[in-house]
Amino acid sequence: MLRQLSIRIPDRLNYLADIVEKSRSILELQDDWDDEGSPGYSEQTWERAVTFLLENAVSLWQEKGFCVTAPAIHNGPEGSIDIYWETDNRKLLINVPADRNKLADFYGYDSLGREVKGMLKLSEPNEWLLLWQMG
Amino acid sequence: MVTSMADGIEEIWESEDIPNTDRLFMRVHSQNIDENGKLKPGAFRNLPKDLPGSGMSTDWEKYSTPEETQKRARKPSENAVIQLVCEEVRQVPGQTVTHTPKPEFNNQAHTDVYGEKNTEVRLKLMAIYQIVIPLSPRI
Repeated sequence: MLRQLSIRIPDRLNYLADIVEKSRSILELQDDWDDEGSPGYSEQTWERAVTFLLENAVSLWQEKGFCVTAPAIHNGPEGSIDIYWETDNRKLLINVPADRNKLADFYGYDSLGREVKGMLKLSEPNEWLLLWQMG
Repeated sequence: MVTSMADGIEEIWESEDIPNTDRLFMRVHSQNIDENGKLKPGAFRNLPKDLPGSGMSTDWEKYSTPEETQKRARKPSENAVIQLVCEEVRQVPGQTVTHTPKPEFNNQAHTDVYGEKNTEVRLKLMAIYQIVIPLSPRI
């Protein structure tokens, strides 16, 4: 069980739990962390981002037996959090905004130039997007 | 048109058209660079965010070197510098490149890249940047 988040992670997805734990360091970035006035990051925004990732990854594992590709979790613009997949064939970026009332924005493309883009309600199941990333 | 007072002499800095083939230099803070030395997509953002019409700050190569761009940071050693080719930036959806000299910062090179920096724009900018000054190794 990931500390503070009540999500049970199957052993096969422990690599995701490690990525999530490592990404906690984003919360150490205070206002003006870049000397250009960028705001710091709230625990609530980080939790929304990692909960979205873990819940959908666990669901994908339980329902289809797929282990999602390991993403990077990065500090994004304006207090938002980016979840970023970069492989030889596909790139996908999901942005979780600091404002919980806003939808998440996503965009991805593959090596053939096919695109996927739109807005997501984070609280709804979105395994299909993680599945798209895996190609 | 903006004016700059240097050595008591008033200098007029016109906003000029930037050719497609020219390069823009941009500082990137160390917190926007990952452990492999690659940019994080969050490096591409408009500042200051609260003002209408804010853009992504860059410097036009006609009036700046990458080293000068780096030195404009509050802590230069904590910043890398990347380059973007104007034509490629203009091909990214919704992005316009405008020469916006800043006499208050004595920066004739200042250029804004206007347009929303959503995930599509940021991923497309990720595909066209090149690092020209990497981060200094941490001692």
